[in-house]
Amino acid sequence: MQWIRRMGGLVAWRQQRASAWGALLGQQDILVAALSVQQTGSFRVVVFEHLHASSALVHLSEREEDWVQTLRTLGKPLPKRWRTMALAVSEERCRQGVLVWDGPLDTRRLEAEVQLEAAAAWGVAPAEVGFDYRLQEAPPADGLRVQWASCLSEQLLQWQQHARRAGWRLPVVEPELQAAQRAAVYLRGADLQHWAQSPQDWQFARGPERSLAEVDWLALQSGPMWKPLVACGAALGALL
Amino acid sequence: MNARPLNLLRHPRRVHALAAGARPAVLGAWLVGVLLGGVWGWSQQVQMDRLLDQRVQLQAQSSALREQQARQTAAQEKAQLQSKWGQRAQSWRAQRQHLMELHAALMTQAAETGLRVERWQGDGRQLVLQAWLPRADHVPVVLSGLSRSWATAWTLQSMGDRAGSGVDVVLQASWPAGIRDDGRRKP
Repeated sequence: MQWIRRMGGLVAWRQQRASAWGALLGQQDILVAALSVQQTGSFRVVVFEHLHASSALVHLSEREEDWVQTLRTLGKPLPKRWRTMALAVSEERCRQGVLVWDGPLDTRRLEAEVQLEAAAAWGVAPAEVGFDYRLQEAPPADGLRVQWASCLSEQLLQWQQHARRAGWRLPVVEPELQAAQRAAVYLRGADLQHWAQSPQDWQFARGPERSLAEVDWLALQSGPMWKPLVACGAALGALL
Repeated sequence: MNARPLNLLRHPRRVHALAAGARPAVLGAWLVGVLLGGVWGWSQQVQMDRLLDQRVQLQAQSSALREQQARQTAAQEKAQLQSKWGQRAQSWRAQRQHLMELHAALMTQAAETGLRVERWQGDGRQLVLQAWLPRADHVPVVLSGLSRSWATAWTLQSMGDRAGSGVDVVLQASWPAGIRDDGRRKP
């Protein structure tokens, strides 16, 4: 089995990425960030774009077409294999919840239950949601707590098609909170007040700089750094 | 942040659902495929071995045939050569016999007519004899005498007076048939 581990290490080395792209898709804007690996091992923001939909574009399809053009322009100088992007979606486009599971751990049944829960949250048929779930780290004694998040399948498909038309691959779509948490935990700097204001000056460490409990989430979410953090966090997910 | 990150594209796993439903069929098809592939590969291997054996046999047969042909050709060439050598030896014997007869005739003519041969030369087609005779009227006698001992007739090519002391004659005769050649023949 030694050779399998060695091959695994080789594959992991091959897959080690030097840069990654992430985006936050909001209702009226889209933020795109690219992180690059530094010689020190940390990650630095090398590209940051905050694109507002033009006021002249009334219809959603027109705004999306505008973003497709922007993504196409951003990806043009990149080799095709590097045009991979993780997308974080805003709270309005996403439903999340926690399911308490007290039965035996049957993955297929649990998956079906989460799908039903997510479909009920959207008020659509189960086949019309895309979702993911995970067991919470410290399950209480009265049952497993399953954290789930979901999105409408139609929108997921649409975003993937947009990305494909713009020349990008879209392998990850995640809730914005998850991306923001990742970025806030790995962002370098003593505390919220000392973080750099401009995302171009941000650097992210390879290991956590703080725990989730150390962050004032309410202040952060209501501040101007939230959306840039989400975009950078989405990109960071591919590098960690 | 050690928990697995959520990815909304992960579920529902359509491929997984399909695979779960069709797992026995897929497994069966895979096994049948592996079996058929194995049988096909085995049959190909057997056929290849058979063809290799056949190729070795054919190569051996071809080699033996080539050797046999070479031996036959060599034997034919040797037989032709021996035949030619036999013919040539026979021709040489006949030529020698004729020359001895000519020599005897010349000795006879020398005794009877005073013929003295001064020079003679021959090639593959004819003999030329330069001689001296004390008298010109002995020329016909010499020609008839020599012609009797030679299969073809001797002819007078030229005759000249040697200042009142006999005549110089040049006589010529062709080689008899059977020993005449193209000039390459050398005893």
